[in-house]
Amino acid sequence: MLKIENLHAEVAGKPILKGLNLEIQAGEVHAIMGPNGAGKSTLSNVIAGHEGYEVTEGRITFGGEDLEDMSPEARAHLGLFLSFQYPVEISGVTVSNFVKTALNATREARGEEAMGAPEMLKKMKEALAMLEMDKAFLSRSINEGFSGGEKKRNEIFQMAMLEPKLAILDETDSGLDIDALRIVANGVNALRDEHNGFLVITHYQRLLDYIVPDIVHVLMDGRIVKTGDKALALELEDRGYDWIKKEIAG
Amino acid sequence: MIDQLKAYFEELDQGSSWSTAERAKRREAWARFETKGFPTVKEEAWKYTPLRKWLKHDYAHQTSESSVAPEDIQGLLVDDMSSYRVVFVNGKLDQALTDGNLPEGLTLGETRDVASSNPTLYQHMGSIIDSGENSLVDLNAAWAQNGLMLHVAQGTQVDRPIQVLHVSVGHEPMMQQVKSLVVVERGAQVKVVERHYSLADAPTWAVAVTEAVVEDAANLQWVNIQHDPNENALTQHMSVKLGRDAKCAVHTFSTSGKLIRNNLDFDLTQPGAEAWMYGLTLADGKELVDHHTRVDHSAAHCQSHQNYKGLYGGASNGVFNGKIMVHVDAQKTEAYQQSDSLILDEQAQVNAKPQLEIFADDVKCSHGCTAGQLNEDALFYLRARGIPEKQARAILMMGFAQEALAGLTDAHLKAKLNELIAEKLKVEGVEALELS
Repeated sequence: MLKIENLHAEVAGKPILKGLNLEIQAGEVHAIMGPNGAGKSTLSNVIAGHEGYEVTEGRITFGGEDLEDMSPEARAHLGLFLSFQYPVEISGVTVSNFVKTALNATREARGEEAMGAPEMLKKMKEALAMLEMDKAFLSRSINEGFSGGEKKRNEIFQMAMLEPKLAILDETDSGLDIDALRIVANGVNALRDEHNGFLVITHYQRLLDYIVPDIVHVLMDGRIVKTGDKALALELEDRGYDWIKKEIAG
Repeated sequence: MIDQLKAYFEELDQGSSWSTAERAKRREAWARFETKGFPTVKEEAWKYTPLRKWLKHDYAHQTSESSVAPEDIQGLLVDDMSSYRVVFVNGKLDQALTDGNLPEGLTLGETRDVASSNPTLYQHMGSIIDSGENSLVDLNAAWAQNGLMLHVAQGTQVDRPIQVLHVSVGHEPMMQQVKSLVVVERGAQVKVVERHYSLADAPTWAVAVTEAVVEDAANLQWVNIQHDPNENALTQHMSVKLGRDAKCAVHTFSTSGKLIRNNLDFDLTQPGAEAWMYGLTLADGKELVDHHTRVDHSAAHCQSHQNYKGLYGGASNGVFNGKIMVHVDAQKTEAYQQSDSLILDEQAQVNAKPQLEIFADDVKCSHGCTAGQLNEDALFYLRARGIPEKQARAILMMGFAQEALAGLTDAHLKAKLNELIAEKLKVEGVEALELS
C-alpha cells in the first residue's frame, strides 16, 4: 500500500532523511521508534506533503501512485491521514464544520456525492461515543483552548470520520495521561481492519502496549537501521538505543 | 476649498433659522475649523491618511431634495432582521422608508429638530465630543444640519434592533455632513446597526459625527457596517460617554471602502462602566482604513476591551492607533487592547501604534499588536485533511474574521456580515461554512 524507496529529504537545506526504505501492506500496523532528531516527524510530514520539506532523492508511492508533486489535499483524497504531533489551533471554525468540509471535499474529489446532514450527524455521534467525548465538542473552535488530551482525541475523531486507508500517528501519545492514552488507543484499535494500515511514530514503548504493532522499525540518523517484531520495542525500552548504534558501527 | 466652504457657511448662516445660541456655537466651531484647516499628513493623527484626493472635488453644497424607492436600498440593510428602520436620504429622514410605529420609550428622529423638541437632549450636542486633533469634527459642528436623534427612555428595553441607513443620491460630488445624537437613559437597552452608503454617480464624502450618552446601568450595542466599494469616502467620529455600570459595545466592520477613517472615543466617567470595541478591516486594492481609538478611564473599577482584526491585500493600507488614558483616580481599571493584522500581499501595509498612559497605580492593562501572514501550519493542517488550498485559505480568513462578531446574537445580522466578509474575500459557499 505504501512504499518508500531510498528516500532523501531535507528541510531548509539540511539533510534529515538519508535513504529510508519502508513498505506497509494493508492490514498492518507498523511502529517507528527512534531517538530525538532521528527524522521521525520529517518522515510523517514528507509523506503528508508538507511543502517545507524537500525530497531530494527516492520516491514514495501510495496505492501504486507516485506522490511526487502531489498536494497535501490530493494525498488525503487518496486515503492518507496524518495525526499531528502538535495539532494547530484555528479560531472561528468549529470542529463539526471543519470535519464536514473535509469529508465532503474528499468525497467530491473521489467523485462521490456529499454526505447528507443526518448521516453525517449519526457518524459523528458514533465517533464521539467511541472516544468518550461530549457532543459540545463539535461546536468548539478547532483545538482552541483544548487540553493536550482533547487535541489528540480530536485527531482520532477526525480519523474516524475520514476513514483513511493509511493513518500516520505522529507521537499521538505525547502529552497524554494514561486514561487519555487508553481512549485514543481504543479508538485506533476499533478502526483497525484488513483494509487499512497504520504507521505509529513514537518515542515510547508505552503506546505499543495498547496499539500492538505487527512490525517495529528503528529510525536513526535518517534511515531505518533495524526492523523486528513487538519484542524489539520492549528491548528498546529496556536497553535504550546505544546498543543499536554500536551494532551499526560494528 | 476652504474659501469655498466659508462662502457656503456664510450663506447657510444667513438663510438659517438658528437661535442666537446655536448660531454662536456654529460660528465658534467654524472659527476652530478655519484655524486648523483640513487634517494633513503632517499631523501625527493623520500621518498615514492623506485626504488630498478627496479635497479636489467641487462638492455641491445644496443637495437636491431626493427620494429613493424601497428597491434602491434593498440589500443595504439586514433585510431579514426584524427591526425598526430609519432611512436618511441626502441627510433628511425619509418618512416613507422609516418605521413610524415605535414602542413606547423609543424616539427616533432628526437632530435638526432637537433644539426645539427636546431642549434637555439638545444640551448634550457638542458636549460629549472633543474635536481635539480632528478638525473634521469642527467642520461638522459648524455645518452639519441633520442626523439621527435616538432617544431611549429610562428602563426601556427596545425589543428589536434599530437599523439606520444614510444614503446619498445625486449626480454631483457631495460632502454629506451627518451629526447624530444617541441618548440611552438609565437602565435602558438598545441595539443599533448603522450604515452609510452612496447611490450617487459622483464621489461622496460622508463626514459623520455621533455623540452617545449611555446613562447608569444602560446598555448600547452599536454595529457599523462600512461596505461601499465605490469612489466614496467615510470619515466618522463617534464619542461615547458611559455612566455608572453602563455598558457599550461598538463593532466596526470596515469591509469595503476607498477611504475609511474611524475615530472612536470612550469616556468612562463612573465606576463599573464597560467599553467593548471590536473591529474588522478587510482591505485590498488601494483601499485605506484607519482606526483611531481613545479610551479615557476617568473613574475607578471600569473596563475597556479593544479587539481589532485586519486582513490587508493588494496595495491597501491600514492604520490602528489606540490610546488608553488611565487617569489618576481610576484605580482597579482593566484596560485591554489587541490588534492583529494579516498581510496577504507584499505591497499591503499596516501601521499600528498602541499608546498607554497610566496615571493610577493599581490597574491591569495590556496591549498587543501582531502583523503577519496566514498561518502556514494551519493551512497545511486543513489541506492534510483533504480541504483544497483555496478553500483552506478561505476558511482561515473567515475564521480570523469571526472574533469581530463576538457578542452579536441575531442570526440574520451575523449571516449578513458573513456575506459581506465572504464577498470581499471572494469566498464561495459561505453558508456551507456555518461559522461559529
